[in-house]
Amino acid sequence: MSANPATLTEEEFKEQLQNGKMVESEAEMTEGYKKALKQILLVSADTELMSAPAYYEQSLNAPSLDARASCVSVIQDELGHGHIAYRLLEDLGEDREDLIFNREPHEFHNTYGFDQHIDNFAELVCAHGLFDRAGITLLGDIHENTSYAPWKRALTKVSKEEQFHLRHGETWMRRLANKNETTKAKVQEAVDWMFPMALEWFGLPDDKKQHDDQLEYRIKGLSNDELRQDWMDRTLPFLDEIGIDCPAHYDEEADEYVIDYEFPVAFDEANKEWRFDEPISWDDVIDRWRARGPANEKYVNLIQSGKIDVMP
Amino acid sequence: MSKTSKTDVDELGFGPFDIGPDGTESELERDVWANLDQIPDPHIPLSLVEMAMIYDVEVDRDGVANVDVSFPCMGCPAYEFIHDDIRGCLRTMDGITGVDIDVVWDPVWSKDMLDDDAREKLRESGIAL
Repeated sequence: MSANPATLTEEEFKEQLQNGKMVESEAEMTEGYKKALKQILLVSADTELMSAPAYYEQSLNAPSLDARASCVSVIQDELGHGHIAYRLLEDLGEDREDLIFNREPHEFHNTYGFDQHIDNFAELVCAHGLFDRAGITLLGDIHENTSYAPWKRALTKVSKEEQFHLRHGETWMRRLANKNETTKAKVQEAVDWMFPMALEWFGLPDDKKQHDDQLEYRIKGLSNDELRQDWMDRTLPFLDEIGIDCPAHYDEEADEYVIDYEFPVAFDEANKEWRFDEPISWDDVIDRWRARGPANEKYVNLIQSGKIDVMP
Repeated sequence: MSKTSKTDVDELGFGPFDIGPDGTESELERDVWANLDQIPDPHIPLSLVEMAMIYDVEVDRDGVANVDVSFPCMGCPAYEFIHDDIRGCLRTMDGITGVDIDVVWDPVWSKDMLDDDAREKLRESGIAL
């Protein structure tokens, strides 16, 4: 069997992991592995947790009792998924209570999409359809490929539940897109700002990354660009089927999906509009993420206040 | 088929539950059960039959499948999806002309209705009973 990680170099440990080694506990990790794992777990935990307040308001605005029950169930699932990830962090020496209640809003690491106000039911179901799809893409890869065995086991339940969110989202996106021109326009407006945001979610293009510890330690299995392609491969045919436009297409010759603008571009937060004629650098994107989005404080406060006023 | 028609008395004295196929089904009804056993619960990695949510199936002489369904909770988040799935699954079967779903709450669904295989599958996917 392999040697104690304390006597291994990070490079030797990476090689063992690439050869299929699984990690069961903190005692079996190198410092580098632990750091990379904690980083991605925190992003995952915060993203699951902060999707709950993001989804909350419009869930109560659902057009039927069945739809509302589905929406509220999605929130319950997301809180459960957050709990799983924070619990895994606790095994690595973090304090769950501290992480949830004692951080400032800007210290959360959730995806930027859940720093946005979700303003109507169409936006909510598009978030279920597009953002939860991005979550499934990311977590599905980890479920399949990760070297961290406790996370892999925990994701069996998470993956099944995320499939339900996606089905709910896509069912309602299809329903609204087919109902009438007004409801279809609402879906289109939501996709207009959410689609590019989901593309950004997968992070820096592979050719801009010097090295990727999460891949080298096999915490995940697919690169950012592979994950982005995977998401487009599932999302574009669906949008096409329901007659909703998006700024990307499949390029037969290149045998891949191509983004129809100079990716990434500036985002007008106040109006939820992408400035497609204003390309920016990835440093700018990361600065925007770090500054957090417009609903960040509201959502973190909603969680940390420990109670929710049902009526405004 | 993973369900048996009779389950044991549980620790609270409920049961046996008279749910599931009881061996008196027609061939068509057996096929209906088999197809229902292919429908995944939208939320849990078991089929609707394994989840013991299908209480009874009867195909009448006009070919209408009457399906008694119950739900683990009254506010089931997938209520509508499950109705759609049952209709979609049975509608295309040879000999079936219609699908009539009756949601029943007697007996009240209980996890005691789950058989050992179902319990093991839940455990494997990290769901506590």
